[in-house]
Amino acid sequence: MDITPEELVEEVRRMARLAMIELNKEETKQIAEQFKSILDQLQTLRELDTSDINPFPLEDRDPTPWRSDEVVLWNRYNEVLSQAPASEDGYFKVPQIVRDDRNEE
Amino acid sequence: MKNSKFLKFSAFDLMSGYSKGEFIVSDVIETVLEYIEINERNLNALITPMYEEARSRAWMLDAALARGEDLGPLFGVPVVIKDNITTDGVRTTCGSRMLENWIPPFSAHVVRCLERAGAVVIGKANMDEFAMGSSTEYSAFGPTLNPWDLSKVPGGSSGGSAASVAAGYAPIALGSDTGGSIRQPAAFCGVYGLKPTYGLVSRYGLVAFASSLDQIGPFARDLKDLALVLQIISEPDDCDATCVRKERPNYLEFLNESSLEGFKVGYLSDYKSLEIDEEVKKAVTEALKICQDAGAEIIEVELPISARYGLPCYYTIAPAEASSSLARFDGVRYGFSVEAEDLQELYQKSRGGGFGPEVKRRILIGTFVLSSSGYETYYLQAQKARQLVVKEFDEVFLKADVLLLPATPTLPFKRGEKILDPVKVYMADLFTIPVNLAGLPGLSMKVSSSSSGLPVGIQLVSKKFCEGDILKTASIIERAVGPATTIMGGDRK
Repeated sequence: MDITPEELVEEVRRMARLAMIELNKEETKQIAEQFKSILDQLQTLRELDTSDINPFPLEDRDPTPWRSDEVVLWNRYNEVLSQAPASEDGYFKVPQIVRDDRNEE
Repeated sequence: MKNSKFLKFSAFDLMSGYSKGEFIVSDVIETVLEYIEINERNLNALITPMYEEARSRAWMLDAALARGEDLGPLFGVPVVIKDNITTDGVRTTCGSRMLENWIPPFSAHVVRCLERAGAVVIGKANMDEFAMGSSTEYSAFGPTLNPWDLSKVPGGSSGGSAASVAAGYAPIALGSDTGGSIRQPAAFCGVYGLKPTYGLVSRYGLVAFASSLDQIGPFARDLKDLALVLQIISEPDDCDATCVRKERPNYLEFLNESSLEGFKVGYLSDYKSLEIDEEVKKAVTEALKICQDAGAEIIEVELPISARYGLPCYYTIAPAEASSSLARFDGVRYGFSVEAEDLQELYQKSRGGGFGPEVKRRILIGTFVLSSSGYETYYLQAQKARQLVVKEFDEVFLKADVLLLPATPTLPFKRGEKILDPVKVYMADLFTIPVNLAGLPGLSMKVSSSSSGLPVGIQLVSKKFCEGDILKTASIIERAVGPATTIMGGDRK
């Protein structure tokens, strides 16, 4: 793969943004170094002639089985909520997403 | 240590002792827990030993024993569960800081099956973080050591499960296998490890890594124990849509056959440029000889596509699926979380702080091969290559009933030796990965010991849902080489 070390670092930063993972400088540098040797290894797959191969044959062959739609009683919501860093009134709580800009002017 | 004989007993030995009234469950569990407490200082095979839970369960089972109740098929047998399989009320960490304090409110299907059968879960086993690794060195809770030689790795990612069974913590453990994570550590620790056919065992309660590849399977020191556990955990389950509903055969019956007459065992005649340890080659030859003496026809096979393209195919598909599976760890509902001003920052900081280096690396590779710049070139090409691997095995199994292959290309490697070079450590799964790509069952078992006293394993592979053929072949080999043994702390050189 023809790619400069600077481009690799930029690519790793882009992937980290897409994957929502914060990386520090050191991690970014280390992963960028390994990225190239890993991608080079994956590139060997290009040697294979795969022109007439269906990549997803299972989709036609094995339909997903259905289970009957039955109500099962389960009452441990509090235990589930207690695993969250913040909850309120039976809901998971997250930082504010929508702000009211009018008040800030 | 009093009653240390219990540590070497198989599940069947223990159950026979209980039914004859020679000892009770608490005797066994107390011995096991005392031994674990001493040995964990060295081995670090368990992330969470379950002292209190195991004791109270033992009392409960002893009360049932005293009342003369029907004993389950695994009554009073200690088992160890890999820490990516949920246990109701007991933390399940996946070897990650991300889930360090996560207490699941439900047990996995396989855990329920074992408990219904009377088993006693005694601990949650150490593992590479989110099952990504081949040495158990990528655990956030420190590495597990190989009980045969503390300077060596136990393999991974189910290294804690394999080491527990080899060291005598329990005759049985469960692990998970996405690219070799049961079979490779089983070979490194000298025990049996089976990855069942994709779809035979429910993954309900297994924290997903790569769902088109993941399977749960058993470890044991004795083939009869292994077959029994397979029987118990392969109970069909509606909660995993990939778990097939057809009836399972009686796996124990396959162990009674004494001949391989009319049976064809395939082997790789030429490893070409692959670097295989001489002692591994010797073990394969020895096992082939045993099969031949038992009447099997030995035939040469070739797997050129699997050998050359299996690894790159897997290291495209598995990270792609992992990048999706691990998107659920967001710092909102459970797991590691960092306080943040807005939602985006909450995600990025929680995931950045909770995941270790190998997990981050694989998520980023997976994100890349699924992104617009990588999808066609990498991901789609790998999916097509996977179909070629499937086809290659289909053709080989027109000629052979089982394949006898190396389990790993090398003997257990030194701790710290490969941790810095991901491509090098990926080679450890060369012979196990294609089996996952094709969804086939594979068993690794110890055949001999190396000149340095380390276990040397082989791998048996069969057609889908033909675990019976593997068990039959393995039982013939076991009769010749003996069951796997424990290596106790005091016996180590």
